Amino acid sequence: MRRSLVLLAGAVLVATATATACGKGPGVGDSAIPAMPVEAIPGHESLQDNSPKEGPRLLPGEVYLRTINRMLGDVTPLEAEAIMRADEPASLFDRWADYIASLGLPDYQNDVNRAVSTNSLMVATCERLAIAVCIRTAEKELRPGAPPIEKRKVYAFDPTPNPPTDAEFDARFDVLHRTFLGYPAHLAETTDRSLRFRNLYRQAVARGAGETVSRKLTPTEQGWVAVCYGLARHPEFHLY
Amino acid sequence: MIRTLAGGAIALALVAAPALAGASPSLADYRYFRALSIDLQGRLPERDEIAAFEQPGFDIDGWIDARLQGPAYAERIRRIYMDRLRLDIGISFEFVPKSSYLRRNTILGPDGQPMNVYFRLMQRRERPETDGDFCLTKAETGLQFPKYNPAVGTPIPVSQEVLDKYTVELKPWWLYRDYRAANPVDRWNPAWAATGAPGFQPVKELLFEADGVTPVTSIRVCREEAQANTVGSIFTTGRKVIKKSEPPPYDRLTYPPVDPPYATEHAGEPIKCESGTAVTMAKDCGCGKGLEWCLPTSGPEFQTFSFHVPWDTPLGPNEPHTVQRYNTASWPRFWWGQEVVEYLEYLAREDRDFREVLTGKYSFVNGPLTQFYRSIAPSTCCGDAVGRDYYSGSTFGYVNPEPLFDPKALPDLLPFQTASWQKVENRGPHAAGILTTAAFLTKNGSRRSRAHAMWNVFFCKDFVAARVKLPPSNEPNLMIRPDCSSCHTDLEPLASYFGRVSESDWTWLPKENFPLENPFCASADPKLAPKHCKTFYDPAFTNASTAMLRSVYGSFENAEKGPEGIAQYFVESPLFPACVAHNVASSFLGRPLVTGDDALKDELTKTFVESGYRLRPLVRALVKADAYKTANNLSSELWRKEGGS
Repeated sequence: MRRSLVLLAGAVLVATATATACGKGPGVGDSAIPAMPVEAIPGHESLQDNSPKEGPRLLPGEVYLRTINRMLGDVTPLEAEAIMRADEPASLFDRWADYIASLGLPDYQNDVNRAVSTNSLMVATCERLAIAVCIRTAEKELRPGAPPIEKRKVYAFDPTPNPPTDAEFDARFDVLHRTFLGYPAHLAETTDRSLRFRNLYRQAVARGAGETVSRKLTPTEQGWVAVCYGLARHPEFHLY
Repeated sequence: MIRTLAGGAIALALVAAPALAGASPSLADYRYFRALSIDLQGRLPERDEIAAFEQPGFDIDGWIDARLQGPAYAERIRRIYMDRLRLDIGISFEFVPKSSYLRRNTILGPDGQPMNVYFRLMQRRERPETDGDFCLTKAETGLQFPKYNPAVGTPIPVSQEVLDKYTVELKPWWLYRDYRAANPVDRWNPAWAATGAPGFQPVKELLFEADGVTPVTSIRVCREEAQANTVGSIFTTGRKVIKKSEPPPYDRLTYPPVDPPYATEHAGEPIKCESGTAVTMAKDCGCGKGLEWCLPTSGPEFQTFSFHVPWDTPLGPNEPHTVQRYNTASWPRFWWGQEVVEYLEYLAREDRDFREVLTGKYSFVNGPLTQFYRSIAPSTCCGDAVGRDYYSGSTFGYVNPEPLFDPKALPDLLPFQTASWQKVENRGPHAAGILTTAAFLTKNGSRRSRAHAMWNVFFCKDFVAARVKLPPSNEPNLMIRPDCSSCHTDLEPLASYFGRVSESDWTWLPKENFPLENPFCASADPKLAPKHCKTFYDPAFTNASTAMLRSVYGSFENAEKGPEGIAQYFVESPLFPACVAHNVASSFLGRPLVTGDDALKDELTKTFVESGYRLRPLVRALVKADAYKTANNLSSELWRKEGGS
């Protein structure tokens, strides 16, 4: 630490001297101090860090869209749009034209580069898609007449007839966790992920059970949709 | 076996992970598999794939190798280069070649009902009343037809005799799949999408009569446009120029065309009907059988709707997210971009020598591209302004322009066959990979921008001025102009390689017609040089003895080598493979490469070169490298908030 402070102090002194010299000189680009590589400046030998910097990487928009289409049943984009709109147009989902520009895809025609980070509009659009996918797949896969479990794309399990025990919930949560995040829930780095989602599920079910208005989804379905939605809007779903 | 928990069933093996204690993948392993799936399958891994991955002895190398053969890998590579090149042409590039657009005017038919009649602007006709204009007169229709505007006047029903004399009724290509038959019957319907023509849908204005309800079963077109000759003859009238102080004769709004000098000198000689000059110099050149050489519009206006065009296609043209009805120009423009997509994906899918991205003689066409390269591309040269279209080329005796894509090399695909992609092995002597595709030549319209794009994408270099302050200078040679020279010493010779390719176009300018230095265009005052010279010859390099072809001053030698020359220059440079390694690695790692990546980049470059410039070994080495496995650093110390989910 002390050595670092000494180096830093030296760097500040050099920088001050340089700035002073620039201020007295004829102007930018015409300084009397000759150009030199950064490493040659006293005190700067070890300050540059050229090591690679890894960080979170955003999923390409194409991958995100293709995954959505597969979750909805290996459908084309226009079929996906029809599924998500269903019989409540503009309620759950409008049209791709309203959303696709926000997903960070490049626009080659207008020389707009691919987005490498999210923005609030992109996040909102992804949330809208997440809601639509979670609800539409729940309507198909959590109800009587659902495809065989091995053919279900999202909810590859049957809901328990009674409120699930912790173990029963965790087993089903693990299915969804693998679907969206690609690994078993027990490996999650954050503590008690299953517990938090279990609480989310139970709160959603309880809220649904306590409602007086009629809903398209049963309380149990609302619970699982809330879990699905929580995973679909999880940062890890949108990242590599 | 299926494990059953009380009250419900769970999919097979999906909760088996704890049973694999001692052999279970780590979180890092799962994330690596996820990244591989994203990059090599184009989607997230599915549960059955994860379950297979978890099994002891899972062959990750075999899994990777299998995906490197798949279409998603080809798409991944294509995305890298399309993100850099952006070869998709938008509405800012107006593409309205007059000789290829069939406009239409609305008149009253013999029954007094509105009737559309298709025609081409500038079409030569026998009658002076209609020569170079619409084929029916004010006397016959009650109407005059301003260019790019609806008709004016009080319509009167045209007589059947006049209609039959000056127009033809036929069944065009955009309505009938069997338009070449004697009696076409296979009219367009939505089922065409499932039988070879997905995405091909004319707008309702082409499918229905003016009432919007009655299906169009046949159309009327001016007789000259219905001709199918491939060669016409140069037509002269001996007409004298009419002074502008006198109104146009015959109740016309435009003056009848007079014979350009070339026509006078070559009267009666053959001219290819595919050339743009043919529409202005021949009365026996038309739009071919079923009008297959031309594109329909739905009105007389400059731009009108014609087809529904796949608009947002991140997953490919057969899976559009949106489809829009748009103007005629959007149809060929869309397919120009798809040609490059096919080219790049072919290189990756077949693991070709990647240098063919610049040197390949081949390319890929479907129906719309075949129509474009056969009959539209040869017709666009060489005008210098609206109203003087195509005359510039004739000044230099260039009336049968040579497109970079030899039409004779094309397969016999029909214009609506959107899904029938075929490889054309040899586009012609000047073909050079994607450099001579319509998309590249229009996206990078000027010769300098073409060279600049190559410098960026295939050398991974930028042009950065040495100084920001540029002293004023009249020096036309940017290689010696103060401070411009730091960039242009490199850029001008590279631009010269495209000196014989017209700008924002795909036409070759041969030395027989366009010598690099041409005394014909000489003038002590460049403004007084012969007409049409400045279209091709640079006034800045014009003097009393000669004029220089535009963009060639950087290097005459390079100009004569053409696009294939710059392709060879780039692929022979050691910068080329290093840049490929850089582009691919940067994309797969999701970040720019830094000094600390030098060892990886060198290794990848060596692998790429030693494999014969193939991408598959490079990508295989990359996805197995530690840098790729750690590229997606999601450790909580870096970016999670406390108490995150």
